[in-house]
Amino acid sequence: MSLLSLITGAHTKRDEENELREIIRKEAKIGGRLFGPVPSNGRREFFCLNQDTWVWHEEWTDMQGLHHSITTRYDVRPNGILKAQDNQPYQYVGRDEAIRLCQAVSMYRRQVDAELYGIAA
Amino acid sequence: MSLFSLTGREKFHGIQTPEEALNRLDEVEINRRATMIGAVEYMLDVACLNPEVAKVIRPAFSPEHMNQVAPVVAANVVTGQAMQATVQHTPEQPVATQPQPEQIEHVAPQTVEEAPSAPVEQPSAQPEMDWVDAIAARAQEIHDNRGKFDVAA
Repeated sequence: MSLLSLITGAHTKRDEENELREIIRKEAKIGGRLFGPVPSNGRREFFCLNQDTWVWHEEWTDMQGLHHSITTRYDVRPNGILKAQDNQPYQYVGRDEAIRLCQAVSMYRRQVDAELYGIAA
Repeated sequence: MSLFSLTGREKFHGIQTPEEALNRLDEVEINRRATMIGAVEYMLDVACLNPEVAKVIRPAFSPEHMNQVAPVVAANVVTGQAMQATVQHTPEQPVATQPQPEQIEHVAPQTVEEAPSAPVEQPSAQPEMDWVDAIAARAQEIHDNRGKFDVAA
């Protein structure tokens, strides 16, 4: 929140954008924990970017000390769920992946509701 | 949001009902939650277009089933190891708990299995304040580069 908005009480567009980013950050951290422990040298985020898009981001360091990161985007379409990943073509997710993604998404909602919005399942 | 707004759990201290919680949320949070809920429901609808997926998804997300497993999930989600043990000992309820480690590779290949178990000091390349934008931008970049109609068979 900017100093100006604190003084005037006005809620600027930038304030809202910052608050939205902060909320997504919190959601993404909660989402990253849904899949078990994250390696101490790694990072995992899973979050709802917008109405149609889910993002998985993972970073890790291999045995040679090289840093890796991979971002996976799931686009939810009326006729299926498209997956886009680094260096791979778009493809519709299969049955098993769709099921697991749905599990993760449903858990995401419940856990975010409980931890961030204070609403129990 | 006022100067004296509380954040996190403090904001919701003493809340008893969802309605009370919603009353404490500001407009940004309400909109975000509405987006999140809408995205979840839309995705479930899309997934359920596939009859094979629907056969698994619909029973697994019935209110009765979720009420049964929700306390287990909530209690264990913070400690991943505990969750793993819970999943392994409740084979009749695997769907509504979290994906197991071997399943992660199907969602995000090249991730968990390749991560070394020994801790290595490796701070993230992205500063904390910028990572959402960076990841979202990367996701958008992937999307733009591939194009909406570049779909593999």
